[in-house]
Amino acid sequence: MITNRQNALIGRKGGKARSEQKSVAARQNIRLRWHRRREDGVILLAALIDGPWYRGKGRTASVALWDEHSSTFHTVGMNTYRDPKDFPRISRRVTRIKQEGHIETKGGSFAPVQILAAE
Amino acid sequence: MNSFGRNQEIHEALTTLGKQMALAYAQDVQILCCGSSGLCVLRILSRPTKDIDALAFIVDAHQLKPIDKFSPEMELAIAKTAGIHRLGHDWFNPEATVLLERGLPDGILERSAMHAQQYGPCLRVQFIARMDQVALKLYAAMDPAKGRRHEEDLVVMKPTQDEIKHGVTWLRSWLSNTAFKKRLAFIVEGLGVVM
Repeated sequence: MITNRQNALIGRKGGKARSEQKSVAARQNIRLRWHRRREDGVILLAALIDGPWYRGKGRTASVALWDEHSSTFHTVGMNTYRDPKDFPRISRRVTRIKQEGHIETKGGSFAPVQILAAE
Repeated sequence: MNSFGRNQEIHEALTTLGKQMALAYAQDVQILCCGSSGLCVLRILSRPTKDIDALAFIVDAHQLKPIDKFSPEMELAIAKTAGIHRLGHDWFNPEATVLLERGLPDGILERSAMHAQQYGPCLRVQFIARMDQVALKLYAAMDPAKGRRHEEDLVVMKPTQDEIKHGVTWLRSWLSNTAFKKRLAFIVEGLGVVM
């Protein structure tokens, strides 16, 4: 009971309580049973779930949102312009949403290793 | 949201943009473009990208002008094209125009003329040539925090000694401090080029 009260305090739902996070984690586990990870821990394209954020290794960021509809990871990327006269001081920075394909696909650069959370 | 996975998709989006601009009675524009889409069009690199980086307006066929903003008609055409091809609202953006502040490599416009294409009656796009793509990549690789991915791109692009020298000449033409020069020398050395 103490544990349940502590879980309730930090917003964690235990036992039979349903939550979006649990549902996503369960769906991910099912897919991972059918489509095993690569030896280096990368989650295969077929095992990805539409919508959640994934941690991994990418070209522009280490966290990305998987969009199954367009078969693309969306990341938040930054372009930094440095001042050559006062290098490495930043003279300008532009932050934009970027796209990366799954590492297994042609030209892809994002390698997901862990599901983080639903959107 | 879609992304450009293939060369053909970039041309299709630009064709739609050209049509939409004509329908909106937009003024004729010539635009110099760079970035991943340019690398894709030139078949140098292939990776999904959802945007086209507009570098500058080409005026009087030989002058470059920074892009403060597109005309309202062109903005409307960009938005409509985004809807048709399911692209992001900023798929055709002038972010890279900041590079004009310090000037671009000499002869960039003449070289890009080889990669020019007309899309409808009022839109002409020129992608910068491979040599200049290498130069811009070299500058991007100068970023100590996020330059790694650009260094990797450079390795994949397999630039020739002449292409790297062209980029170095451009970067050395800027007024710069010692840290900048050291970083440039470090990157060039990493690419196996002796300057």
